Amino acid sequence: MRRWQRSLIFWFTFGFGLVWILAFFLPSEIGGGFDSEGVFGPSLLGKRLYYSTGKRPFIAMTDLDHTAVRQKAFGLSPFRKSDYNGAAEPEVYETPQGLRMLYLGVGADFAVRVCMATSADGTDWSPSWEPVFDPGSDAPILAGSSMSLSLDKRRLYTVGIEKGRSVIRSAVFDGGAWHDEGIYLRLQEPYAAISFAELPEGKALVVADSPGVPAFLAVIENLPLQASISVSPSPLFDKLKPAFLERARAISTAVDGGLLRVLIEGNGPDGRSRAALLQGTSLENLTLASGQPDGSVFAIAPPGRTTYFNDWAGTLSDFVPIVSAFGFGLGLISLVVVHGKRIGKGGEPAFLSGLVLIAVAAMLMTQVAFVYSGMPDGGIWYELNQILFYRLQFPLGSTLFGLLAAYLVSAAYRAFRIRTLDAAVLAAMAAFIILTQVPTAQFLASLFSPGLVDAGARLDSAAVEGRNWALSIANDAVQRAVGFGAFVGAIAMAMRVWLSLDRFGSE
Amino acid sequence: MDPPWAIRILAAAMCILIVARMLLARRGKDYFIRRIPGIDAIEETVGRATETGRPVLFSPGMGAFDNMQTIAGLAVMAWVARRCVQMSVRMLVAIAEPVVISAADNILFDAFRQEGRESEYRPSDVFFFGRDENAYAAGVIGLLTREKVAAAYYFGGYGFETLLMAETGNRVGAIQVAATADFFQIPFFLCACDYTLIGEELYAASAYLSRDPIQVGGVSGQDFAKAILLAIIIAGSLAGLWLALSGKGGAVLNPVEGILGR
Repeated sequence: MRRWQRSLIFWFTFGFGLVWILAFFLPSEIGGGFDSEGVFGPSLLGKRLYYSTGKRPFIAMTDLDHTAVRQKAFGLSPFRKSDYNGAAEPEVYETPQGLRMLYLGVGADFAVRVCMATSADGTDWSPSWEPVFDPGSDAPILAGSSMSLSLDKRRLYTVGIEKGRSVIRSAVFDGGAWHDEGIYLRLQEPYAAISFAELPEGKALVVADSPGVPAFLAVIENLPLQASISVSPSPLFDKLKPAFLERARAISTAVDGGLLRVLIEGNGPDGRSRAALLQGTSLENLTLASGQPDGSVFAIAPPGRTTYFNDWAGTLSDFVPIVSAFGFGLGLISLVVVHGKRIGKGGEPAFLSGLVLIAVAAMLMTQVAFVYSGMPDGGIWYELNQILFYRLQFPLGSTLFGLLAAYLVSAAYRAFRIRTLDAAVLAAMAAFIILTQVPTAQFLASLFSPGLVDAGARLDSAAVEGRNWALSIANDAVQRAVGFGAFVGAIAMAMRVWLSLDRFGSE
Repeated sequence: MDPPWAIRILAAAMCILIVARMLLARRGKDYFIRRIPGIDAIEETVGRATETGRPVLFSPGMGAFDNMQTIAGLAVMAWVARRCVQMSVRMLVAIAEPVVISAADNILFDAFRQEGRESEYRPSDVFFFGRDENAYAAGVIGLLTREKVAAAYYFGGYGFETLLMAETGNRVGAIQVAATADFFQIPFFLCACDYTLIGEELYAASAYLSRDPIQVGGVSGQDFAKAILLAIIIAGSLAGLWLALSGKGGAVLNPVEGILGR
């Protein structure tokens, strides 16, 4: 490798790593934290809070009892056009098929559409490639607006502006897709709605705002209204708005087991972004459920001076999936070269290699055609996808996974041959763990006398304590020891790569 | 997420310590690395492959190129590849991540080039099996059985496929050396492989093999950083125990926790 090439690689690696390192080490007040701009449009499911972040927003999540750190729900991808420029205003709800998250995606064309992500556990989210609802180009402007779901999760409200006035549009879910219902509510001037949330008994809460006037909460009754209405601060406003929230920005509601939950997000007098949670059986008897010393459930520092490292790190990370995409091409070429040569040589391997190439081509063609035909629920590409993916690849994978059972037995047989003291301790501990999974002592005692069963149960209980100690204390300590070593080793390896001190033995 | 200040300071201190030792090693300071039997065995296994005339298999794991375990695996691969070329042993490489193909390909070619035998290099010895764990395991199992490999090396990050591969290797009579930092895969490798490197030994392997002063310095720095961490844990545990026994825990521990968690 020439000197200038090596120099180019060094500075590229060094610069790339430096941005990430600075984004990690510098505090959020000067640009390090991903949500230092604030918490926007929060949505609550159980105790988990989902929200969107500031610049080029994405969806983040945390737990109200602070048992989980703040983390991304899913990242933005340069290949996903529907939310290329940001994902905001999450609305999370449960369905029999798992958890669903509707959010506003700011696409590559800067148009705002409603997108969806799915999850089984509320932590790992998979966003869909296509938006689930497109309000269309003639629809009111949605950018910077709020989105909410009805209490039965079958109607979607989006707040926007049309001809200078606030409008709330609705879309209804028919079990397969969302369909536009048109304007649901118009607000008269001088106030503009910035957030809308449905309440039981045909009521709704609106956060209204206007230049020069503090934002306020208004209650609207007898929905849906066809005519435009004028809103004014509700008498409930003072009761609903906690003292620590100077300016309300977004509101969301949910009914959970007969309990009405109202989540209000806004800014405090000190500029901190906060969320308040009010709970009660009805709107009239809501009480504040606090988790923070100031009475809020979530508070985050105001944005300060920024070094932009975190933003740059996020932008640079777009580079990684692009390289990976090119890598797939490399993989395909390698596959074709290896198997092509074997086909050229002839014989039995040639037949199998031909089969591999046919399978690759069939899967590739089916997937491309299926995705480009809009992933329909029927038709030839759908059927082919079902056959190749769900009826062929999945069972084959399961079969291979099933081999593990047989291999575990043969590996365990070798591992538990007692030849040394260490092996004896290992085997004894393994036997103890296995036997304490079931009430062994009770069973053995019952063989001798029914009167001994209670004593056997007590012995089992003590044995379970011992098993738990072995698994959670002794085993955990070893896990952490290995983890510590690996963590420090990874840092050393990273430093060698970052500073180009490791050349994989060449030169 | 903002990491607490204590973590930031500790991470910065460790980085500085490791780099300082690397630079000291480059200036000529000699550091000691303890013997790792698993790595010593690599030389022996390549020798055995020469005697039997069978190939060896190297797997840098399932991780992507941003995974430190994959990079550590590739660093070991560079050494093994060169030794294989020197001893005229065919080396098969099983790849899961597409981006790793070009790196593995280059490393293998580089080994031939350094020995002046570029013409013997065969790009088709680098096999791509895909990211799917089942597909990768099936591919490696196929290679192990078809080629009847004399030795297999698994250096990198893995999932459940470890046992499928290592147990097959054991059945075909290959000498197997494995190294991973994935805790839950270590027992499988221990059961099925002849030598297993645990956790951090994976990162030390390339330094141990190459004896490159910078890498050796890095390993020494990593040991020193670990000793500091251990000292902090022991001191913290003793202080916590003493505070709890003396009944001052609540008053003193909470502010300490507050500072560390900030």
